[in-house]
Amino acid sequence: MAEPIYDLPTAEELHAYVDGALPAERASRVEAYLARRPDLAARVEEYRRQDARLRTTFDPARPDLLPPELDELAGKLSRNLVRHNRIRGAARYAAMALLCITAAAVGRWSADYEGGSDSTVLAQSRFAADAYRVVTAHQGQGSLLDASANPAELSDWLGDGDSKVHIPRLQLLGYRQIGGQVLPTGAGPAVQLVYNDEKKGPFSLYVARSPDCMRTTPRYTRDGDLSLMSWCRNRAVFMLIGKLDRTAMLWIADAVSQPDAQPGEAAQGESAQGESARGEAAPAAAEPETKPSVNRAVAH
Amino acid sequence: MSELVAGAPLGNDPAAAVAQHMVALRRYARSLVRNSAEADDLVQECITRAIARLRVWHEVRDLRAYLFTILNNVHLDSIAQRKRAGNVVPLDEAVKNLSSRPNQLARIEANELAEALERIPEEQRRVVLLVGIGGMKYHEIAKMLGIPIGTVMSRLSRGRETLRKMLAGEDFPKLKRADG
Repeated sequence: MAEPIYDLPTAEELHAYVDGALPAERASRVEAYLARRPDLAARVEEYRRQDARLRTTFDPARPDLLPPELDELAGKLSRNLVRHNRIRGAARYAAMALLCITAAAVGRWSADYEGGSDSTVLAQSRFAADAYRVVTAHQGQGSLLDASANPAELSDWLGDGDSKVHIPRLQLLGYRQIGGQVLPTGAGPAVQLVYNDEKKGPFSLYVARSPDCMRTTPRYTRDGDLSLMSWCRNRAVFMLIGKLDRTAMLWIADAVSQPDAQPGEAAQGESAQGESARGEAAPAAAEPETKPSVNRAVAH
Repeated sequence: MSELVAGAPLGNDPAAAVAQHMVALRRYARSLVRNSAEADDLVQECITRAIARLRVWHEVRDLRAYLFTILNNVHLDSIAQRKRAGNVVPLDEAVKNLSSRPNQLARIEANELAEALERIPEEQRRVVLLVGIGGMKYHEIAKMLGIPIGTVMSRLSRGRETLRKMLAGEDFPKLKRADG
């Protein structure tokens, strides 16, 4: 069946397909299109060969052998990176502890309880812990999570308008997002986002609607070897599940729960910022085929 | 998923990660300057700067992107320096200095590619090389060059396509001029 004209891949998308930069769904549509267009499929192959040729053309004569000065510098860089990671880990831990002490002193969480249903939260926490176990058990296969999941888009599943749930992006706290997904639960959809902590491994942020739970302080529990921190905000329950310790979880809960914290918005346009860091002249005029719609289609 | 792959080496084995990136950095440097000795000088300066910049508050999330960004800046600085000094290496000489390929055919092909690359606009060439040789992600290049990701994509698209046409013998600027 022929595609509607607006659905045909653009030249830029063909290259993004070559580079594996298209979201999975779009990539499979491009692939299906190429299967019917052998001329374009051949061109895509040519682009791939061209890249391979670039690499071999500029290969050093003995890629495995570094000149002595470079070898020495590379060794020094590796040693410094090991030390750097160690120091940064310790510094981050100290910063977390300090933040928690500050939060406790200010008493941000004290007298913050405005009702909550233990049974709803308990049921959700079991579900969240199970979901965490399933995802981390299959982590290597990468089949369950959408790596390019966007918390703002996933939150649409939980409600919109007045009942919109804001899901924070924990990248802004220095955690790397592994992926996310929407999960069906007995009580409506839930969002699971999985992040990675350099030391303690994967942990998930689980968010679900919880109509009778307006606002509670974070509560810490343990479930086997897992830690679980849960709290409510604006009729939604938030949970952190993983092997992070209590201090780290409280730090995250504190950072994302402040009424004015909207970290999601702050980083949305990250990649499209600043036209010219090195003073390049008006790229929009020089390159008219730049399409904002293509920007959104690229997996970050 | 890309972040997982790119970020992993830092936590696991920095020595292996650095060794792997050194190969890519040297390739990229050679594609920029076409002269092995000069290319290794650029990489040397890049690693020296990378070491000097490691500070506690400076997080290196992705070593590859970190090193390529520095190397790119080292190259831009060297161009600026050379312009100030009025010292430009002629292309033909540079092409001859390209690494010794194992046989003559490979050498001819290498020079053909190097010449074709030289004919595409610099801003497109840089993106083509960062993706093709550096294996950089589009958003990393956008951040590195301070341009929107859509601009990265259109430069890549145009650069790669022009290169393809030239290597296929279509629309080769040299031939066009000869005909006209």
